[in-house]
Amino acid sequence: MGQVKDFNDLKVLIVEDQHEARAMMRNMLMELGVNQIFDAPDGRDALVFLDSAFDFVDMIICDWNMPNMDGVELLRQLRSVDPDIPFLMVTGRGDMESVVEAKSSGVTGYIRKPFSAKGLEAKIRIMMHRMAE
Amino acid sequence: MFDEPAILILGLEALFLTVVIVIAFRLWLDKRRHAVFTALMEDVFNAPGRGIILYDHNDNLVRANDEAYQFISTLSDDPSAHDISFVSGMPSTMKGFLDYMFDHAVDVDQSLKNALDKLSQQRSGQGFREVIAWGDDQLCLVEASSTSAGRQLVALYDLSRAKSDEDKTIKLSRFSDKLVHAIEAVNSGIIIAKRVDDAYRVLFANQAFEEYSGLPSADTIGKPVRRIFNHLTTHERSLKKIDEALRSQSQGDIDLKAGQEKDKPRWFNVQLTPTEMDDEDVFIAVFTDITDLKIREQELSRTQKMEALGQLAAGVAHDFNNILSIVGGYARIADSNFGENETLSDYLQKIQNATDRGASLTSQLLTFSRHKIVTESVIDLSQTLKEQSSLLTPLLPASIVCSFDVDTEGLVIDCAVDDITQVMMNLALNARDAMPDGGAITIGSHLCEGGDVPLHIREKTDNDKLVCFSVKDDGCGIKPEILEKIFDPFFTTKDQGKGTGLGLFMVYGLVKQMSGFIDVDSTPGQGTIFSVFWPLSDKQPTKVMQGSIADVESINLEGYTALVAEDEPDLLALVSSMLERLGMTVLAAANGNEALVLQDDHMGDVDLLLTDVVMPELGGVKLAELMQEMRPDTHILFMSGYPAGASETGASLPDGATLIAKPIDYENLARIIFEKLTNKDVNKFIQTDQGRAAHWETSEVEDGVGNGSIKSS
Repeated sequence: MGQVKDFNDLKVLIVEDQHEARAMMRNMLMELGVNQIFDAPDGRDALVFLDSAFDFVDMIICDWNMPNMDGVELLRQLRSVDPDIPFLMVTGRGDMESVVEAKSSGVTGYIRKPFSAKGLEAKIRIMMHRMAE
Repeated sequence: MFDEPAILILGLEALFLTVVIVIAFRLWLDKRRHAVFTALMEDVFNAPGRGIILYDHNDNLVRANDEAYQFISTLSDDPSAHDISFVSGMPSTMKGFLDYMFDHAVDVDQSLKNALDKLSQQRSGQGFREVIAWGDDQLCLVEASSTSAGRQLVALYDLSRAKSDEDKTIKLSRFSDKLVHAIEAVNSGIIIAKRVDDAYRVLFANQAFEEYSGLPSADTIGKPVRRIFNHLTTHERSLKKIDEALRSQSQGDIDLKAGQEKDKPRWFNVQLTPTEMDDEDVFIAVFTDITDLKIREQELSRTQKMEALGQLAAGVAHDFNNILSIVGGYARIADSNFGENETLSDYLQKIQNATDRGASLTSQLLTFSRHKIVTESVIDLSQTLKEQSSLLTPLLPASIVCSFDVDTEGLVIDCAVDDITQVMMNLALNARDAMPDGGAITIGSHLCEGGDVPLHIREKTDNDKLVCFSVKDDGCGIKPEILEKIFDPFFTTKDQGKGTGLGLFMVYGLVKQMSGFIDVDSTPGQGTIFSVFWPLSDKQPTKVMQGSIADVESINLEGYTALVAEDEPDLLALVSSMLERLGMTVLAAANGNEALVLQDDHMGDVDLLLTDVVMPELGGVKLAELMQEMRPDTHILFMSGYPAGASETGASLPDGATLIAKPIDYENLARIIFEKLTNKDVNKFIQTDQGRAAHWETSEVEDGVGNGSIKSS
């Protein structure tokens, strides 16, 4: 098992169409000590960004529902390039079917809205631990 | 022959000639005198130091000397330019002069104006004498007087220089008065010493120095400085430094331990400064009393030493507790599996006993380092001492009489019964050991106010009312030279094998942990009093009831899920097996992050998180926080080799947290978990274990458990 990365060294890409939600996530991450944060307003922009900067991102936190390209489609396309990159799906839906769908689409983790900084921290830790295993 | 008329004529001629000559000589003489007088008068008139202006009886300017012109010109650049009544720079009339004077004078008051007016009107030679100020610090004495011929003579004297000299003298004298006063009043001792031949001798010593040194000025002034320092101290190192500074004429900053070796030491900081006064070598020495500072420094370094030792002890004990847990735990399991074999069972029992003894030793060590969760408890000191006194009786030989002077009720303090008992026992046993031939021990408690409290304790607390607990013996006492060391760990004066040197160390730690203060008063050969002070609490004493569960084996927690996080693999296996023995489903995680993943994968409830406090990467405290966020219903229990576990992790346990001290005792763990879970969901317990629920009616406080009061179910 590899060493779990320190939060200070973690580089995170936030993909979220709502400006306020993006800002909130950025704040939470900074509160947790993450200080290398990038963001994109939808899946398409995220892909453009990752195309040139894939190596600069350790983890993606992505909203499910977005215009242009939603989270599931982004994930599908990403997995064809990198099957391992930690991908945390943010979902407003709490039903079991959604959870199953999220898991089967290859997410590393999922988190329900609304969530706290501590909830996010726990999810990130879990993902990092899974990746290090 | 001469005829008579001819002789007469000749005589007359001679007489005439003589008269003419005499007259001519007198005239010449007069003229000469007049010229000399005039030159003399001119000299007098023009003599420096005063200005003279002469006006005739018609009030017109006759003449003025150079000095007078200078006076007038200092008032204005070109006086005549402004006033037509000026004749080549001088007022042409007496009145004009007076007006000019008045116009340019500063601080003119009515009386001066009146005097000037009067003079200008009367012109009668009444005389006028006033000091008039003008310009910057210019002072002039103006004297006007009439001559017998009706002339007016004005004399002007410049007083500025004289005034400034006088001012300077006054200023200097006042300043030196103040300086001397300040030097005398200041709290630092000051001596000034002048070099005479090869030695510096004292020129001046202030009041404070007299007090510091105890030497009257008669024994100081004129005496060699070195002799004064010899009187102050016998400490060679300090004296050497002073010699060095004096010899090399360099600045010195020396902490001087004053007093003789046998006295209570007093510390001075001495600042030596070489300088010159009137071309002579002079040394100024300033003494500041730094005794309080030194005492505080010593206290601080002592506290730091104790803290370092505490941390060391805690670190060792932590690992040691883990090892003991494993040894003891497996011995217990082996015992329950091979219970039929009596010999084996006996051996296993011995192993368990040994681990128990080891655990109590580490617990003693750890008590010191403030790692125990302070149980929220308020007690009545006197009552508690009475209740606990029975514990002492079996430990004291018949030759020692132990009496309690604890009549005062209402001495309420914030601390745990166990801690007070430990302090009492340790101090009493110490007293016992100080009296091998027997004697009396008096255990007392009383309220202290103001002067009853030793000064060094009063300085540390704002509380006026302190509760004092004391243990007094009439034993051998403690020698002053070891008094400082008695609270050090492993310090003992007892024979090899008789004392661990941990008793007073533990007392010190406990008292500190309880926010109390300790004081020792000992006279060799007469006895010792240990006094412990706590602030008087305004809370009500807590009622603590004793009780115990009938049978731990009857507890069954089937259907509950526990998540265990522990980085010591053997201990993880042991604790997991303990929980499984209770019927629980166990998710065993080797660290905090793994615990997070396990609970994430687990679809059902997690009823209990049992976590070690100190773990790499993600410690127990943080894990508990995250668990509470994700699974708010999960009960959390901490376990630690550090009884309070917190300081080393940098995070403190959350309020109301329950901590189980390692080594983990199965019965204890079972009861605590049972209480936690069944409080949460009694029905679930009853459904899964109907009819087998253990009942108890009272609550109790567990050893090693922060707030483990167990309620009836």
